[in-house]
Amino acid sequence: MNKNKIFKKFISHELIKDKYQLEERDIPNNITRALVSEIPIVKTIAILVDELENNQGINDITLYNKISIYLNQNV
Amino acid sequence: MRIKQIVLTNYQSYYGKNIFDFVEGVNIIHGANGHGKTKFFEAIEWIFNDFDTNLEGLISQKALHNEIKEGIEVTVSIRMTVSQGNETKTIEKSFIAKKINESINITKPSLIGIREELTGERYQVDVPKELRSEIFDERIRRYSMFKGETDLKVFESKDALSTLIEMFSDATYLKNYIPKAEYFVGRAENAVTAAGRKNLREERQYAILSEEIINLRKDISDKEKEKHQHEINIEKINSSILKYENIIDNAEAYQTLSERIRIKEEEISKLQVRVRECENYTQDLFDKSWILTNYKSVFEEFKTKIANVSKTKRKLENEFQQKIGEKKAVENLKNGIIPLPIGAPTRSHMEEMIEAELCKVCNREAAKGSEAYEFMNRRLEEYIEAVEKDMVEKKQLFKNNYINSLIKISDSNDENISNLIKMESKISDNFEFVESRKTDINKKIDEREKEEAERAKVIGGSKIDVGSAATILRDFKGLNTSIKDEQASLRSLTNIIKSKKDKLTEFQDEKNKIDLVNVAGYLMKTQELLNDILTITVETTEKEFNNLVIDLEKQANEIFQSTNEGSYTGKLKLYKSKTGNQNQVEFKVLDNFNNPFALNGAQEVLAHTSLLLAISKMVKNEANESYPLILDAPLSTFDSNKYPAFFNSFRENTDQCIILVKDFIKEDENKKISIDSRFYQDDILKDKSFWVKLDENSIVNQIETTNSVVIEL
Repeated sequence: MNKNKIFKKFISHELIKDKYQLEERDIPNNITRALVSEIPIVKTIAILVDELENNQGINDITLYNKISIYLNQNV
Repeated sequence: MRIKQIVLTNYQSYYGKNIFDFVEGVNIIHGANGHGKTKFFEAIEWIFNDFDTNLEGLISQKALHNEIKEGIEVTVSIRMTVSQGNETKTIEKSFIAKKINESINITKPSLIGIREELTGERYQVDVPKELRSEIFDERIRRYSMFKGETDLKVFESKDALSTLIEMFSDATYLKNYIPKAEYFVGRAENAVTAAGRKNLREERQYAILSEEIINLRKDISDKEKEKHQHEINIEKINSSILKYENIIDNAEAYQTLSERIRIKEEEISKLQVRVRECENYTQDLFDKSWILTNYKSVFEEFKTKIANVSKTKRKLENEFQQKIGEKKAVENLKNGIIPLPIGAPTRSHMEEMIEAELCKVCNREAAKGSEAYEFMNRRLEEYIEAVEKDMVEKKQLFKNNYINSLIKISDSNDENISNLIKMESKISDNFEFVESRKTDINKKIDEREKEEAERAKVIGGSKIDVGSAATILRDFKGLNTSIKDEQASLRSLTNIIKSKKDKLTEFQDEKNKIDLVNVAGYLMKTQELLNDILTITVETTEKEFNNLVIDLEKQANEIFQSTNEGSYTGKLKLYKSKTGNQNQVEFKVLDNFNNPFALNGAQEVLAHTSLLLAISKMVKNEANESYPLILDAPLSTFDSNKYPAFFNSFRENTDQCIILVKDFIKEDENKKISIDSRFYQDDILKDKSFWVKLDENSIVNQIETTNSVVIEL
């Protein structure tokens, strides 16, 4: 499954707009743009999808470390 | 995936090499019963089957007799070539059979896989089984190949639809994100807890809270598992109840009808016995007595003759006796014996007179010793001498009295003759009686058939007998009790889980308060954000599945309506339910008031094929791949006016299908078969058609001569 398609499915969830108050313009329509976003929820989803789709064998610890380091610094 | 070619070599009725070149769209294979249609279908199944038994049975009998038994080695093989993506893939399964020492030696079947790339590069793969799965995965094949109509009703199982949806929908893919997000949430919570401990002022309270939270989560997880088990049990019981629903709904009616049928059968049986007895009797009358119907005149003549003979005999006898009497009288006169006068007393009178010492002839006393007394004694002696002695020595004209026997026969036949006279009307009455009873029997049979039809409606096509109906009733009662117990357990567990969750929220809020004071805000925010990601992954996956079900339902209804144009057939409904984490989709046909709609056999098949075609479209949209549908004899309950709609629905909604049919084969009065002209009408859309038939050298009942040939029409 295409990673942009997966990303778009997740980022379209109502929580993104309702809780995080994001406008349509704040939501990137592809993963490349999402990876450079400054919005933590957008970038976290992008990292998650990008890492898992690029490297299906990646272990949970490595992926969690990458996400938590980003979040702890930027959230 | 498209099937380009299938080659059958020396397989079953296909002697030698037989090639089917398929095209995109609708491929139809015609074949009369026993001409190799189903063998073709089974040949495809055989390629994918790893558990071979009775390989000798797969060898063409003609090859066996013409070649193997003559010492020639024969290869039996099925080769399938497909195009998939940019490649052409071939898979071939084969074995060799040869005669060794009067027995047939068969090698283990081997599988070969060949991959041909767009560039034309062609090579044999190392693991042909992998290539085989790549071509036509077992899970897909299960929902692509259907033998007969019953197979086509694949969606009667709730799991079939959810398996297919999960296999091809994005939901299955997205589902992989859920455990990752769960792991992240767990780690983030641990990080918060660890940080909380380090900075803790109320260390003991925090430790208790953390432990309580861990314990509660474990409890909830355990209880959820327990609840899930009850849900599975309820589901199973429900499905058992549903399975019997049509029967159980009217199980009592079923038993009543079965009893009525039994009584009717008894009545029919009694009537049949009476008819049989009467027929036997009539048969007997015909066989043994009919010839006597003309006996009456013969008998009358016989009787007259007997009477005449008897009369003549009596006359002759009288004359004879008279002559004897005269002769005797003359002799007596000659000897001075005065014959007894006419009116002389009899012996008993004389004895009476002697006894009474009185002559009643002259009315005088005759005392003992008197002359008169002596006279009477002498006369008695004379009498005895003259009459009785004569009687003993009486001469007869006829020594034997045969006339008496004839008279006896005549008298006894008098009764018989009256029966014979009545026989014609008796036979006629019997015929009437038999005919009337036969009418009664037919009437009873009609009544029984009506009752049976009624019962068939009640059992909805299930093959149950009276015994099993009783078992079902008993089981049904048991199932109802079980489901009540299960539901009670489920309710209790739901309450327990809810109360534990409330408690967990309470403890978590309390812990969060402490964390907010003691733990860095970024850790809390990270935890919250990862929680949201978990929610997003779970709900997006769920939504994806639900959307697909809605879409599938819409598509299936469109196809279903188009195949049933002009008739009301209800609506296809897909109901999604969840057992634990497992989605299930139930397929129903409902009327406008959401009541189950009863379809006939053909409509039921069309309902399932509509859904199948909708899935085929879904697979193409979601997975950008399509698979051929291969159906063997799907039309047996169809009226011929439904054929165009059936074929056209496949043409419009699949990229390729192969349909094996016998329904267009017709046989003339000389038993010659041909393809019915209806098949060539424009309204039956097809892209290619074949005809498999036994060649002219094939002789019925001589299996060693049978050879199916493939004709492209």
